[in-house]
Amino acid sequence: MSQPEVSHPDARNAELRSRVADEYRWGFVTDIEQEVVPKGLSEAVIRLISAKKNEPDFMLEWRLQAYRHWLTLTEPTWSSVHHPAIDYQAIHYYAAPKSGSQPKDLSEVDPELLRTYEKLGIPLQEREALAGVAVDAVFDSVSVATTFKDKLESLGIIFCSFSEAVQKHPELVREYLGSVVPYTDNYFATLNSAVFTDGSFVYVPKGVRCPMELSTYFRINARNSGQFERTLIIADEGATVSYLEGCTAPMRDENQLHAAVVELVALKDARIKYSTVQNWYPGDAEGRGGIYNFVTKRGDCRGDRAHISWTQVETGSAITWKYPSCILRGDDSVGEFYSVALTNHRQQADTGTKMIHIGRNTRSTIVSKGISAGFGSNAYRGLVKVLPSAANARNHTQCDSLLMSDHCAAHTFPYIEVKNPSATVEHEATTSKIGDDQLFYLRSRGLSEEDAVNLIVNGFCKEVFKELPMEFAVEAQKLLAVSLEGAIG
Amino acid sequence: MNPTLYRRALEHTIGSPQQMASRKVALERFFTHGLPTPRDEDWKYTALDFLEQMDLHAPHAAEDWASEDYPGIVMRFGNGRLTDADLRSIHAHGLADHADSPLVVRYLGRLADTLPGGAALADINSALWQDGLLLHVPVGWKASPVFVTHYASESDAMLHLRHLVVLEAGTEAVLVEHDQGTPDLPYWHNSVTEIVLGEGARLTHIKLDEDSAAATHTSLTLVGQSRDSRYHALSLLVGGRVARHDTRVNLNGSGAECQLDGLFIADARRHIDQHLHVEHAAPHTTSRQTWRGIATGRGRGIFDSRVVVQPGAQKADAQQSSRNLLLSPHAEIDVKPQLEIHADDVRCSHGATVGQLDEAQVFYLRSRGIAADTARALLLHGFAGEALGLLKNAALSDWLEPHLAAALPLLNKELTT
Repeated sequence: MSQPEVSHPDARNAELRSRVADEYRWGFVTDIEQEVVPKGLSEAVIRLISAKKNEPDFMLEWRLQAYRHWLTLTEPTWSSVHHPAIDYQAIHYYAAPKSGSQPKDLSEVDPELLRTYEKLGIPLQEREALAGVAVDAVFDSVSVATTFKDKLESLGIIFCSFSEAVQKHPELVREYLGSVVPYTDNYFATLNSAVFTDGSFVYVPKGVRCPMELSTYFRINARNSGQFERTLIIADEGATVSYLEGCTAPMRDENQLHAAVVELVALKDARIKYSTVQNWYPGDAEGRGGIYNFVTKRGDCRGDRAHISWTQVETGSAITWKYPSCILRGDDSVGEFYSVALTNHRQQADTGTKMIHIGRNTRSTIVSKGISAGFGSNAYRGLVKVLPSAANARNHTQCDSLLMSDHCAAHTFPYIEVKNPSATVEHEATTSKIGDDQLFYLRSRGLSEEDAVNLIVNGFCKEVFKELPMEFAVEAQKLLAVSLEGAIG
Repeated sequence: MNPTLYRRALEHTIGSPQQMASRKVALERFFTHGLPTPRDEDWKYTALDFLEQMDLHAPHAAEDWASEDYPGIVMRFGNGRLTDADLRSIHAHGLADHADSPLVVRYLGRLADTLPGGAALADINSALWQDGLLLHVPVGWKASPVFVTHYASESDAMLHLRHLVVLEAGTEAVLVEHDQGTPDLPYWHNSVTEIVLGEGARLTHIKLDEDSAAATHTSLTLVGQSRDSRYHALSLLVGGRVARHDTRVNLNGSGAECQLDGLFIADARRHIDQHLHVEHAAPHTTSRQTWRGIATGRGRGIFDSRVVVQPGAQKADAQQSSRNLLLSPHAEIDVKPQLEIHADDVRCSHGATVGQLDEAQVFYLRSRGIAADTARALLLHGFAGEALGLLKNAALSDWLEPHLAAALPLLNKELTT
C-alpha cells in the first residue's frame, strides 16, 4: 500500500523503453561506456552539455551567463549546517546513463536499504528499480503512464521532462525559465542554472483544472534526472494543479551533492500545490555518506488571487538546506508552507520559508514541525517580509520542535520585517520533549514505547500531514516511524 | 577606517603601564575587525559607517551640569568622565580612580574581552574608555539604589564609558543608568557594562536612554551569573538618532534566573536596534523576556533576541515575548526571536507579533464617551506599560513613569491610519 501500485511497473517499463529511445536519439547507444565527460566544470563542459541536449542558443547563452556569474560567487557559510568542503571540480557534470556501477541484483544492494523496503512494504519488483538495479525489460507492457499522458494532452496540459520542453515548447521555457529564480539568485541556484541536465516541466493552460495529481513517478525518464534538477511549473490564469515530488521509498543515488531548482509561476486565480516527500540516503548512523540536498524552491503568485502551497516531509539526506518560498505579488494572493523535518543520527536540516508580501490583502501561513533525534540538528529559518505596498497583509507562523535525545539540537531563526502599518504578523514557537506523562499514559494502556512515541509524533505532525494528498499522508506516517526507529531511549 | 582617529583618542587616555599596554592590544583587536557593517548578520539592520564621516575626537572637558533629583545615590558623569560623586556613596566609585585596585584588575574585561567571535565595539571601548562606575557590594551588604547619570554636551565627541558591577554572594543592588545629551547634538556614546553576580546575588538594572535626537548610542551589557543569582533588567529606550543596545547574559550556575524586559519607541527618524542574547550554560536555569516596541513617524525598531541552551543545560526554561506596534506608513519593525537548543529536557517558547492598536478596543472606549485620540493614547499607554509594569519597586516606577509619559508619541488620526 505504500505506492500507488498500479502504475509502478508500467512507469518503470515506460522509463526503460524511453531510456533506450533516448540513448538512441542522442546517438550514443553503441558507445555508452565511453560517454564520459571529464570531471570538473568549465565553459567547454557547459557547451558540451548544451550540445548533447541539442538546446537552442538562448539556453546555452543563459547557462554561460550563469556560469560566469557563478565564478564570481563564494560558497555561503551562514547556515547552521556543517559539512566538509565540496570540491566542485571533482564532480561529473554530465554523466550518460552508466550500467557498470549498478548492482546486478538485490544481493549486491546494501542490506540496510533492503530492510527499509521490507518495513515500508514495497513490492518485490519495485525494490529492484528503487535500488537502481540494472533491470531487464521483463514487465508486462500495458503503459498506464501513456494513458495518463493522453488524458493530459487532451486538456492541453503539458507534462514532460525539461529537455523535452526545451525542444517542443521553447517559447514557454524562454518566457518563464529563471523568471522566479534568476541565474544570479544564489550560489547553488547559479550552479544549477549553468549545469542542470533535466527535470520536470508542467504547463496548465487557462482555466484548466488538472484532473490528477502530477507526479515525477508517472513521468517517463524521471529517475535519472541527475543531481542538478530543474523543475518549472506554470499555472495559467484560473488553472489548478497539484504536483508530487519524490516518493517515500529511499532511492539509491550515487551523487552526493544535489542542487535542484524549482520554479512555480501562478498567474491570476491560479492555484499550485506542491508536495514533497524527501527520503534520500541520510548516511549511516555515524553520518558517513549521505546526500547533501541544497535546493532553491520558489513560487511566484504573479496574478491577483493566486495561491501557492508548499508541503514537505523531509526525512532523508545527510544535510537538507532549503527554503521553499512564496512571492505574493498579486493582490489577495495566498502563500502556504507546511513542513515536517526529521533529523536522526547525524542528519542536519536547515529549512524554512520566505513569504514576501507585496500585493494588497495578501495572506500567508507557515506551519513548521521539526523533530530532532540522535545527534540530529534541525533548524527552522524563515523570513516574513511585508513591503509598504502590502496593505492588510496577514501572516501567521507556528514552528514547533520536538526533542528526542540529549545530543540533538533544535533551532528557530525567524526574521520578521514589517513596513506597512496595516499588516498583522504573528509568530509563535515552542520547543519541548515528549512528555514523560504522555508516554506513561500510553504505556499504561498497553502500547509499546515505540508505538507510543510514534503516536505522539504523528499527532505532533498532524497539521502538516492533513495537507498532503491522501496516499502520501499514509506513507509519510509510516516513513516517520521507520526513520525514528532506535531513536527512543 | 581611519586608524589615526582612534590612535589620537588613545593618547587622551590614562592608566598604569600595564593598562596602557592592554589598551593598545584592544585597539589592535579593533583594527582587525573595524566597525561592524550590515554584512555581519548581527548588524543586518544597522549601519555605523556614517560614524567615521564625523569629526570624532576624545572629549576635551567634562562640564558640570545640573541633574534632576533621583531617589538614591547619584553618580554624575559629563562627557564620559565622573564629575560629581555622591558623598553618601559606600559601594559606588569612579572606575578611573580605582583602575589599579585588585578587584578591577581581576574583573575588568573578563567578560568583554573574551566574547566569542569578538566584538568590535567592546574592543574599542576597552582601548579608549575614559571613566565609568565601579559598583562593588561585598558579602553581607544590601546597597542603596545607585543612579548613574550621564550628560553629553560636546559635538562629535567620542564617549566611551565603562562600568563594572561586582555583587558578591548573597548581596543585592539596584543600578539605574540614565543617559542624556544636549538636544540635537551629534556625538557617539559607546558604553560597556560588565556585571558579575555571585551566588544568590540579585541585581535590578534599569536603563533609560534619552540621548539627543542626533546622537549615536551603542551599548553592550554583559552579565555573568553564578548559582541562584537573579538579574532583572528593564530598559526604556527612547533616545538617540541611531541606537544599538546589546545585552548578553550567561547563566553559568544552576538556579540562575534572568528577566529582560523593556520598551523601545522609535519615533521621528529614530533607529533603535535592540539585541538580547541569553546563554543557558547550566541546568535548571530560567530566562524571561517581555519586550514591547512602538515605531511611528519614520522610525525603525528592531528586536533581535537569541536564547541558546547549551548541551547539558537540562531543565532550562526560556520564554520570549515580543509585541510591536507599527503606527505609520513610513515606519518599520523588524523582529528576530531565535532559539538555539542543544539539550532535550527544556521548555522554550517564543511569541512575536507586529500589528496595530485594536480598533475594536478604540470603539469600546469611544462608545463609553472617550474621545478617539484619548482612547488611543490610553491604549498605547497600556501597551507600553505592560513591560514596565513588571518592575516591582514603587519608588523606581514613580521615577520612571513621567519619562515614559513624555516619550509616548502623541497619537492623532494621521498616525494611526
